[in-house]
Amino acid sequence: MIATIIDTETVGKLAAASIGAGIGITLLFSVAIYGLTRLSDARRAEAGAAAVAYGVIAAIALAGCLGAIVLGIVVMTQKS
Amino acid sequence: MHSTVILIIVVGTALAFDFTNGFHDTANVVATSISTRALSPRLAVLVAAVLNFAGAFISLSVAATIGKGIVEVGAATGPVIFAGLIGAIAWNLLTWYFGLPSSSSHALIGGLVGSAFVASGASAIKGEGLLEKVVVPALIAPVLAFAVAGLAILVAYRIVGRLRPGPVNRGFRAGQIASGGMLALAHGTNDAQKTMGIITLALIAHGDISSNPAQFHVPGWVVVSAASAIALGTYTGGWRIIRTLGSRIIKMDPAQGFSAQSAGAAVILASSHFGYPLSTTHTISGAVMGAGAARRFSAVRWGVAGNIAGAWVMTLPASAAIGAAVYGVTRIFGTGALGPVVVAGSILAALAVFFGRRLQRGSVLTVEA
Repeated sequence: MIATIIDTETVGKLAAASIGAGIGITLLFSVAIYGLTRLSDARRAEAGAAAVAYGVIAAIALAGCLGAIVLGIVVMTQKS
Repeated sequence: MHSTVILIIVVGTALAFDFTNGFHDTANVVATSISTRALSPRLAVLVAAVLNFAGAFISLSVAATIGKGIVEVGAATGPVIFAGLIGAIAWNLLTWYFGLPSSSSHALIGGLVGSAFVASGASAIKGEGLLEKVVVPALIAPVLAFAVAGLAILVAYRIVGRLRPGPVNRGFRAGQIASGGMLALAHGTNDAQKTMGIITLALIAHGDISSNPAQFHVPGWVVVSAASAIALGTYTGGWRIIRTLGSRIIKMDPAQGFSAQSAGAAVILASSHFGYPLSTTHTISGAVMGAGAARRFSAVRWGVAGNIAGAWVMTLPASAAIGAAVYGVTRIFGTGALGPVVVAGSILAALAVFFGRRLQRGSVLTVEA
């Protein structure tokens, strides 16, 4: 009875995708902020190599966020 | 003649519902951005209105007809749809007045169930569909969003917790512009569709559009008018609900605002992808509570949360009762167009008196946050 009312397979997929996407985007954006803040600190301390490393981390994380936004728009256009 | 009059009334009422849907649900999209000062209130509702308008054009899967699988198709006549819409509008206005975020979709479904029940009896209602598509998702949406937002904010604090708060707050405020934008777009794709579906159903019933799936299409004027109505409603801004979601449940910092919006957008988009109907309102409210409770459980004002949950429980039966009563009143005047005309005329007259008095006092719909 419960299995017919609750589509457990879809709900399971929904939960997994929501947790992955919701935590993933927050993680990526937090890493971007971390990288940008540390980049600013490293520049002020004139630590060139560290600044480059933090800059690369921030750029990769921001690119991931941008990818997530594009993916979100694609999902909207192709929704069931 | 009668059917044309009913069609015109249903279209007008559907657009009125779309407007209330917009201003009732603005809070879902903008409340956290406003409370964390990521955007000014006026700019936030303007951006939300524009993105809601755009969102209505992104996807036209109008086949997601509201009430499908819940009410027997044959029972959804013009007067039944009209009474259902009035039930939904009335509940939206009532919950807006008390600043409670409740689901406009559930109000619409409740209104239709109530009016169809009075019109055709219990056999017109698909109880299993109601459980599967309304009741169960209403339990899943807030719990899932609560968990996702709670875990997300813990991850965020873990990464940025030891950094200087200035750049971190500025960063998350900037991020909220994107996460809020995604929410507004998702809302536009979900909610404007319902009105398009209702109007399209009425046009099919009137014989203006073929019900043959191969020839099924949504007229351009339906898309534009539904998108405009929801965008206008969004821009009007339901400030009472914005205040509840933005600051009465918890006082949020920008990281919590970002986590709540991102978690909410992720859950809504995932539900769209898997074709599982979750309410935007339930999702965002759950995410806001999750982002607050994960930091400190007592930070959430559980009394306010309890009032919101109470409104969710009441939405279906209350809007059904109003829809049923409205249908009963229309039947006093027979089965033709007179009933809807009298009810619609009475409501318009009452609204004119109400807003006339409010205008004299200097305030109309909005009470600035």
